[in-house]
Amino acid sequence: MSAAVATAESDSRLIERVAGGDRDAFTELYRRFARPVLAMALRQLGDNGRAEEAAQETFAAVWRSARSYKPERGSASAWLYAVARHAIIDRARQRREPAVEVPEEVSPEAGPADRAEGAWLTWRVHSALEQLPERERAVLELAYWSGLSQTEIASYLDVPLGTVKTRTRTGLSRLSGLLEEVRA
Amino acid sequence: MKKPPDLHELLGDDLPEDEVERLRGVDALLRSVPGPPHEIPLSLTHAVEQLAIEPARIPRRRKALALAFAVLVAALAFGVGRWSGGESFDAAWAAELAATADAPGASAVVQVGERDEESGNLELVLDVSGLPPLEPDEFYALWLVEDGEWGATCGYFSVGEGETTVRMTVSYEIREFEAWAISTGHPNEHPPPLLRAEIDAA
Repeated sequence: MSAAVATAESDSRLIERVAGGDRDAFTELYRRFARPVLAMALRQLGDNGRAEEAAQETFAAVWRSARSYKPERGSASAWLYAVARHAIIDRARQRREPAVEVPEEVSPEAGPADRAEGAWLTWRVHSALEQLPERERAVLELAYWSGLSQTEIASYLDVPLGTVKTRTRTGLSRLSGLLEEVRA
Repeated sequence: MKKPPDLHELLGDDLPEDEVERLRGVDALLRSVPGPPHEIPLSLTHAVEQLAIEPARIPRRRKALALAFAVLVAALAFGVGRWSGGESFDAAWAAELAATADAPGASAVVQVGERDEESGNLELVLDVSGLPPLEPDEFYALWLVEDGEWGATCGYFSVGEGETTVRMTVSYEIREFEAWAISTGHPNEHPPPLLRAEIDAA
Protein backbone atom coordinates (compact mmCIF):
# COMPACT_ATOMS: atom_id res chain seq x y z
CA MET A 1 0.00 0.00 0.00
CA SER A 2 1.38 3.40 -0.93
CA ALA A 3 1.90 6.18 1.57
CA ALA A 4 -0.62 8.31 -0.30
CA VAL A 5 -3.38 5.71 0.06
CA ALA A 6 -2.57 5.16 3.70
CA THR A 7 -2.82 8.89 4.34
CA ALA A 8 -6.09 9.18 2.42
CA GLU A 9 -7.58 6.46 4.60
CA SER A 10 -6.37 8.27 7.63
CA ASP A 11 -8.01 11.52 6.48
CA SER A 12 -11.16 9.57 5.77
CA ARG A 13 -11.16 8.14 9.27
CA LEU A 14 -10.66 11.61 10.72
CA ILE A 15 -13.73 12.90 8.89
CA GLU A 16 -15.75 9.98 10.20
CA ARG A 17 -14.64 10.87 13.72
CA VAL A 18 -15.52 14.53 13.11
CA ALA A 19 -18.98 13.37 12.03
CA GLY A 20 -19.28 11.84 15.47
CA GLY A 21 -18.41 15.14 17.12
CA ASP A 22 -14.77 14.31 17.87
CA ARG A 23 -13.03 17.63 18.52
CA ASP A 24 -9.53 16.15 18.51
CA ALA A 25 -10.11 14.74 15.04
CA PHE A 26 -11.36 18.13 13.90
CA THR A 27 -8.23 19.82 15.27
CA GLU A 28 -6.03 17.31 13.47
CA LEU A 29 -7.95 17.80 10.23
CA TYR A 30 -7.47 21.56 10.60
CA ARG A 31 -3.75 21.07 11.21
CA ARG A 32 -3.43 19.03 8.03
CA PHE A 33 -5.58 21.11 5.72
CA ALA A 34 -5.47 24.71 6.97
CA ARG A 35 -2.57 25.64 4.72
CA PRO A 36 -3.92 24.00 1.54
CA VAL A 37 -7.30 25.66 2.15
CA LEU A 38 -5.70 29.04 2.74
CA ALA A 39 -3.39 28.65 -0.26
CA MET A 40 -6.31 27.90 -2.55
CA ALA A 41 -8.47 30.69 -1.07
CA LEU A 42 -5.66 33.19 -1.48
CA ARG A 43 -5.16 32.08 -5.05
CA GLN A 44 -8.86 32.43 -5.88
CA LEU A 45 -9.78 35.52 -3.85
CA GLY A 46 -6.47 37.40 -3.89
CA ASP A 47 -7.07 38.96 -0.49
CA ASN A 48 -5.85 37.80 2.91
CA GLY A 49 -8.97 38.83 4.81
CA ARG A 50 -11.41 37.18 2.44
CA ALA A 51 -9.22 34.10 2.18
CA GLU A 52 -9.26 33.77 5.95
CA GLU A 53 -13.06 34.13 5.98
CA ALA A 54 -13.38 31.45 3.31
CA ALA A 55 -11.06 29.14 5.24
CA GLN A 56 -13.10 29.65 8.40
CA GLU A 57 -16.29 28.88 6.50
CA THR A 58 -14.66 25.79 5.03
CA PHE A 59 -13.92 24.34 8.44
CA ALA A 60 -17.31 25.38 9.76
CA ALA A 61 -18.84 23.42 6.88
CA VAL A 62 -16.58 20.45 7.61
CA TRP A 63 -17.69 20.46 11.24
CA ARG A 64 -21.36 20.74 10.30
CA SER A 65 -21.38 18.44 7.29
CA ALA A 66 -18.89 15.69 8.00
CA ARG A 67 -21.80 13.25 8.08
CA SER A 68 -22.36 13.86 4.37
CA TYR A 69 -18.94 12.44 3.50
CA LYS A 70 -19.23 9.04 1.87
CA PRO A 71 -15.87 7.28 1.45
CA GLU A 72 -17.22 5.18 -1.40
CA ARG A 73 -17.89 8.33 -3.45
CA GLY A 74 -14.32 9.59 -3.42
CA SER A 75 -11.27 10.42 -1.38
CA ALA A 76 -11.33 12.51 1.76
CA SER A 77 -9.03 15.03 0.12
CA ALA A 78 -11.39 15.44 -2.84
CA TRP A 79 -14.34 15.94 -0.47
CA LEU A 80 -12.44 18.57 1.50
CA TYR A 81 -11.42 20.24 -1.74
CA ALA A 82 -15.08 20.42 -2.79
CA VAL A 83 -16.06 21.91 0.56
CA ALA A 84 -13.30 24.52 0.30
CA ARG A 85 -14.11 25.32 -3.32
CA HIS A 86 -17.76 25.95 -2.48
CA ALA A 87 -16.84 28.13 0.49
CA ILE A 88 -14.51 30.18 -1.67
CA ILE A 89 -17.13 30.61 -4.40
CA ASP A 90 -19.73 31.57 -1.78
CA ARG A 91 -17.34 34.15 -0.36
CA ALA A 92 -16.80 35.64 -3.78
CA ARG A 93 -20.56 35.75 -4.43
CA GLN A 94 -21.40 37.34 -1.08
CA ARG A 95 -19.36 40.39 -1.96
CA ARG A 96 -20.99 40.52 -5.39
CA GLU A 97 -17.51 40.45 -6.81
CA PRO A 98 -16.08 37.88 -9.19
CA ALA A 99 -13.38 35.58 -7.88
CA VAL A 100 -10.03 36.74 -9.10
CA GLU A 101 -7.01 34.72 -9.99
CA VAL A 102 -3.59 35.60 -8.79
CA PRO A 103 -1.59 35.53 -12.01
CA GLU A 104 0.66 32.57 -12.45
CA GLU A 105 3.66 32.43 -14.67
CA VAL A 106 2.57 29.14 -16.18
CA SER A 107 -0.85 30.14 -17.48
CA PRO A 108 -1.51 33.86 -17.06
CA GLU A 109 -4.45 33.74 -19.48
CA ALA A 110 -5.98 30.48 -18.38
CA GLY A 111 -9.65 29.80 -19.05
CA PRO A 112 -12.18 28.50 -16.48
CA ALA A 113 -11.25 24.86 -17.04
CA ASP A 114 -7.57 25.64 -16.64
CA ARG A 115 -8.28 27.68 -13.52
CA ALA A 116 -10.23 24.79 -11.99
CA GLU A 117 -7.39 22.46 -12.86
CA GLY A 118 -4.93 24.93 -11.36
CA ALA A 119 -6.92 25.16 -8.13
CA TRP A 120 -7.03 21.37 -7.87
CA LEU A 121 -3.30 21.14 -8.54
CA THR A 122 -2.56 23.77 -5.91
CA TRP A 123 -4.70 21.85 -3.46
CA ARG A 124 -3.00 18.52 -4.15
CA VAL A 125 0.52 19.90 -3.98
CA HIS A 126 -0.01 21.77 -0.73
CA SER A 127 -1.92 18.87 0.82
CA ALA A 128 1.00 16.60 -0.02
CA LEU A 129 3.51 19.09 1.37
CA GLU A 130 1.64 18.98 4.67
CA GLN A 131 2.41 15.28 4.89
CA LEU A 132 6.17 15.79 4.80
CA PRO A 133 8.26 16.02 7.93
CA GLU A 134 8.54 19.67 8.96
CA ARG A 135 12.29 19.87 8.24
CA GLU A 136 11.79 18.70 4.64
CA ARG A 137 8.73 20.85 4.01
CA ALA A 138 10.50 23.96 5.28
CA VAL A 139 13.46 23.42 2.98
CA LEU A 140 11.26 22.86 -0.07
CA GLU A 141 9.06 25.88 0.62
CA LEU A 142 12.09 28.08 1.06
CA ALA A 143 13.70 26.69 -2.10
CA TYR A 144 10.68 27.09 -4.36
CA TRP A 145 8.84 30.12 -3.05
CA SER A 146 11.12 32.34 -0.98
CA GLY A 147 13.63 33.34 -3.63
CA LEU A 148 16.49 32.21 -1.37
CA SER A 149 19.49 30.34 -2.74
CA GLN A 150 20.54 27.03 -1.20
CA THR A 151 23.37 28.77 0.62
CA GLU A 152 20.99 31.38 1.96
CA ILE A 153 18.59 28.66 3.11
CA ALA A 154 21.43 26.91 4.94
CA SER A 155 22.28 30.16 6.64
CA TYR A 156 18.64 30.94 7.44
CA LEU A 157 18.04 27.52 8.99
CA ASP A 158 21.51 27.41 10.53
CA VAL A 159 22.32 24.00 9.06
CA PRO A 160 25.15 22.89 6.72
CA LEU A 161 24.58 23.24 2.97
CA GLY A 162 24.83 19.45 2.61
CA THR A 163 21.91 19.04 5.02
CA VAL A 164 19.80 21.38 2.90
CA LYS A 165 20.60 19.28 -0.20
CA THR A 166 19.81 16.02 1.62
CA ARG A 167 16.52 17.32 2.94
CA THR A 168 15.64 18.63 -0.53
CA ARG A 169 16.31 15.23 -2.09
CA THR A 170 14.40 13.23 0.49
CA GLY A 171 11.57 15.75 0.50
CA LEU A 172 11.24 15.73 -3.29
CA SER A 173 11.46 11.95 -3.37
CA ARG A 174 8.74 11.58 -0.75
CA LEU A 175 6.61 14.19 -2.50
CA SER A 176 7.06 12.38 -5.79
CA GLY A 177 5.45 9.30 -4.27
CA LEU A 178 2.62 11.27 -2.71
CA LEU A 179 1.84 13.03 -5.98
CA GLU A 180 2.22 10.02 -8.23
CA GLU A 181 -1.43 10.17 -9.34
CA VAL A 182 -1.17 13.85 -10.24
CA ARG A 183 1.87 13.37 -12.40
CA ALA A 184 0.47 10.31 -14.15
CA MET B 1 11.01 37.33 -6.51
CA LYS B 2 13.76 35.19 -7.97
CA LYS B 3 12.90 31.90 -9.62
CA PRO B 4 13.93 28.77 -7.70
CA PRO B 5 17.33 27.38 -8.60
CA ASP B 6 17.70 24.76 -11.30
CA LEU B 7 16.88 21.20 -10.18
CA HIS B 8 20.54 20.16 -10.46
CA GLU B 9 21.51 22.96 -8.12
CA LEU B 10 18.79 22.02 -5.67
CA LEU B 11 19.85 18.38 -5.54
CA GLY B 12 23.62 18.67 -5.88
CA ASP B 13 25.92 17.14 -8.46
CA ASP B 14 26.40 13.71 -6.92
CA LEU B 15 22.91 12.36 -7.56
CA PRO B 16 22.58 9.77 -10.39
CA GLU B 17 21.00 11.23 -13.50
CA ASP B 18 18.11 8.73 -13.49
CA GLU B 19 17.23 9.86 -9.97
CA VAL B 20 17.32 13.50 -11.08
CA GLU B 21 15.01 12.61 -13.96
CA ARG B 22 12.65 10.83 -11.58
CA LEU B 23 12.34 13.98 -9.51
CA ARG B 24 11.95 16.30 -12.48
CA GLY B 25 8.18 15.76 -12.58
CA VAL B 26 7.57 16.79 -8.99
CA ASP B 27 10.00 19.69 -9.45
CA ALA B 28 7.86 20.94 -12.35
CA LEU B 29 4.70 20.57 -10.23
CA LEU B 30 6.15 22.68 -7.44
CA ARG B 31 7.16 25.37 -9.93
CA SER B 32 3.63 25.44 -11.39
CA VAL B 33 1.71 26.33 -8.23
CA PRO B 34 1.80 29.44 -6.04
CA GLY B 35 3.44 29.23 -2.64
CA PRO B 36 1.53 28.49 0.56
CA PRO B 37 0.72 31.16 3.12
CA HIS B 38 3.74 31.77 5.32
CA GLU B 39 1.81 30.97 8.45
CA ILE B 40 -1.71 30.23 9.59
CA PRO B 41 -3.22 33.36 11.15
CA LEU B 42 -3.87 32.88 14.86
CA SER B 43 -7.23 34.56 14.39
CA LEU B 44 -8.25 31.76 12.02
CA THR B 45 -7.05 29.04 14.36
CA HIS B 46 -8.91 30.64 17.23
CA ALA B 47 -12.09 31.01 15.18
CA VAL B 48 -11.94 27.37 14.05
CA GLU B 49 -11.35 26.20 17.63
CA GLN B 50 -14.56 27.94 18.61
CA LEU B 51 -16.46 26.01 15.96
CA ALA B 52 -15.84 22.67 17.53
CA ILE B 53 -18.06 23.08 20.50
CA GLU B 54 -19.92 20.16 21.92
CA PRO B 55 -23.27 19.78 20.15
CA ALA B 56 -25.88 21.25 22.48
CA ARG B 57 -28.58 18.97 23.79
CA ILE B 58 -31.89 19.70 22.17
CA PRO B 59 -33.89 21.84 24.60
CA ARG B 60 -37.27 20.52 25.63
CA ARG B 61 -39.00 23.44 23.89
CA ARG B 62 -37.24 22.66 20.62
CA LYS B 63 -38.16 19.00 20.98
CA ALA B 64 -41.79 19.99 21.33
CA LEU B 65 -41.43 22.19 18.26
CA ALA B 66 -39.86 19.34 16.33
CA LEU B 67 -42.69 17.07 17.36
CA ALA B 68 -45.19 19.66 16.15
CA PHE B 69 -43.35 19.79 12.83
CA ALA B 70 -43.49 16.02 12.59
CA VAL B 71 -47.26 16.12 12.99
CA LEU B 72 -47.48 18.94 10.45
CA VAL B 73 -45.31 17.07 7.93
CA ALA B 74 -47.37 13.94 8.34
CA ALA B 75 -50.58 15.89 7.91
CA LEU B 76 -49.26 17.69 4.84
CA ALA B 77 -47.97 14.48 3.34
CA PHE B 78 -51.38 12.89 3.82
CA GLY B 79 -53.17 15.89 2.34
CA VAL B 80 -50.85 16.30 -0.61
CA GLY B 81 -50.92 12.59 -1.23
CA ARG B 82 -54.72 12.66 -1.43
CA TRP B 83 -54.65 15.70 -3.70
CA SER B 84 -51.99 14.51 -6.11
CA GLY B 85 -51.80 10.76 -5.65
CA GLY B 86 -51.54 8.95 -8.95
CA GLU B 87 -51.85 12.10 -11.04
CA SER B 88 -49.35 13.00 -13.73
CA PHE B 89 -47.36 16.18 -13.34
CA ASP B 90 -46.73 18.74 -16.07
CA ALA B 91 -43.97 21.16 -15.15
CA ALA B 92 -44.30 24.77 -16.31
CA TRP B 93 -40.68 25.44 -15.40
CA ALA B 94 -37.93 24.05 -13.24
CA ALA B 95 -34.83 25.13 -11.34
CA GLU B 96 -31.71 23.20 -10.50
CA LEU B 97 -30.39 23.96 -7.02
CA ALA B 98 -26.63 24.05 -6.61
CA ALA B 99 -24.98 22.63 -3.51
CA THR B 100 -23.28 25.07 -1.15
CA ALA B 101 -20.16 24.32 0.84
CA ASP B 102 -22.32 22.76 3.53
CA ALA B 103 -23.58 19.97 1.28
CA PRO B 104 -20.98 19.03 -1.32
CA GLY B 105 -22.27 16.33 -3.61
CA ALA B 106 -25.91 17.14 -3.01
CA SER B 107 -28.22 18.06 -5.87
CA ALA B 108 -31.84 18.98 -6.29
CA VAL B 109 -34.29 19.98 -8.98
CA VAL B 110 -37.60 21.63 -8.23
CA GLN B 111 -40.30 21.52 -10.88
CA VAL B 112 -43.12 24.03 -10.75
CA GLY B 113 -46.52 23.09 -12.12
CA GLU B 114 -49.16 25.31 -13.67
CA ARG B 115 -51.23 27.34 -11.21
CA ASP B 116 -54.60 25.79 -10.48
CA GLU B 117 -56.99 28.55 -11.52
CA GLU B 118 -59.73 27.50 -9.15
CA SER B 119 -57.69 27.24 -5.97
CA GLY B 120 -54.71 29.42 -6.89
CA ASN B 121 -52.30 26.68 -5.79
CA LEU B 122 -49.11 25.56 -7.44
CA GLU B 123 -47.79 22.06 -7.20
CA LEU B 124 -44.04 21.57 -6.74
CA VAL B 125 -42.14 18.36 -7.31
CA LEU B 126 -38.75 18.27 -5.68
CA ASP B 127 -36.16 15.62 -6.59
CA VAL B 128 -33.26 15.68 -4.18
CA SER B 129 -30.25 13.47 -3.63
CA GLY B 130 -26.94 13.52 -1.80
CA LEU B 131 -28.31 14.89 1.48
CA PRO B 132 -27.66 12.75 4.55
CA PRO B 133 -30.64 11.32 6.42
CA LEU B 134 -31.36 13.31 9.58
CA GLU B 135 -32.31 12.38 13.10
CA PRO B 136 -35.98 11.47 13.57
CA ASP B 137 -36.81 14.88 15.03
CA GLU B 138 -35.06 16.87 12.31
CA PHE B 139 -36.28 17.92 8.87
CA TYR B 140 -35.12 19.54 5.71
CA ALA B 141 -37.07 22.47 4.35
CA LEU B 142 -37.55 23.89 0.88
CA TRP B 143 -37.99 27.63 1.24
CA LEU B 144 -37.94 30.85 -0.72
CA VAL B 145 -35.40 33.59 -0.09
CA GLU B 146 -36.55 37.19 0.31
CA ASP B 147 -34.11 40.00 1.08
CA GLY B 148 -31.50 37.38 1.79
CA GLU B 149 -33.63 35.80 4.52
CA TRP B 150 -36.10 32.95 4.86
CA GLY B 151 -39.11 34.48 3.11
CA ALA B 152 -41.62 31.66 2.75
CA THR B 153 -41.72 27.94 3.48
CA CYS B 154 -42.69 25.53 0.73
CA GLY B 155 -42.56 22.41 2.85
CA TYR B 156 -40.60 20.15 5.15
CA PHE B 157 -39.32 16.74 4.19
CA SER B 158 -37.01 13.86 5.06
CA VAL B 159 -34.69 11.94 2.76
CA GLY B 160 -33.63 8.35 2.34
CA GLU B 161 -30.71 6.82 0.52
CA GLY B 162 -30.48 7.74 -3.16
CA GLU B 163 -32.97 10.13 -4.71
CA THR B 164 -36.01 11.33 -2.84
CA THR B 165 -39.04 12.85 -4.57
CA VAL B 166 -41.30 15.16 -2.62
CA ARG B 167 -44.52 16.83 -3.73
CA MET B 168 -45.57 20.11 -2.17
CA THR B 169 -48.27 22.69 -2.71
CA VAL B 170 -47.89 26.45 -2.34
CA SER B 171 -49.82 29.51 -3.39
CA TYR B 172 -46.98 32.04 -3.60
CA GLU B 173 -45.95 34.15 -6.57
CA ILE B 174 -42.64 32.38 -6.75
CA ARG B 175 -40.99 34.80 -9.15
CA GLU B 176 -41.36 37.56 -6.55
CA PHE B 177 -38.71 35.82 -4.46
CA GLU B 178 -34.95 35.87 -4.97
CA ALA B 179 -34.03 32.23 -4.74
CA TRP B 180 -34.94 28.70 -3.78
CA ALA B 181 -33.11 27.25 -0.79
CA ILE B 182 -32.95 23.97 1.06
CA SER B 183 -31.68 23.74 4.60
CA THR B 184 -32.32 21.96 7.83
CA GLY B 185 -34.12 23.52 10.71
CA HIS B 186 -36.57 26.30 11.28
CA PRO B 187 -36.74 29.89 9.95
CA ASN B 188 -36.01 31.32 13.40
CA GLU B 189 -32.70 29.47 13.49
CA HIS B 190 -31.49 31.16 10.28
CA PRO B 191 -29.98 27.95 8.94
CA PRO B 192 -27.47 28.31 6.10
CA PRO B 193 -28.74 27.00 2.75
CA LEU B 194 -27.42 23.58 1.78
CA LEU B 195 -28.62 24.04 -1.80
CA ARG B 196 -29.68 27.19 -3.58
CA ALA B 197 -30.89 28.43 -6.96
CA GLU B 198 -31.53 31.99 -8.04
CA ILE B 199 -35.00 32.69 -9.37
CA ASP B 200 -35.20 34.51 -12.65
CA ALA B 201 -37.78 37.28 -12.28
CA ALA B 202 -38.65 37.13 -15.98
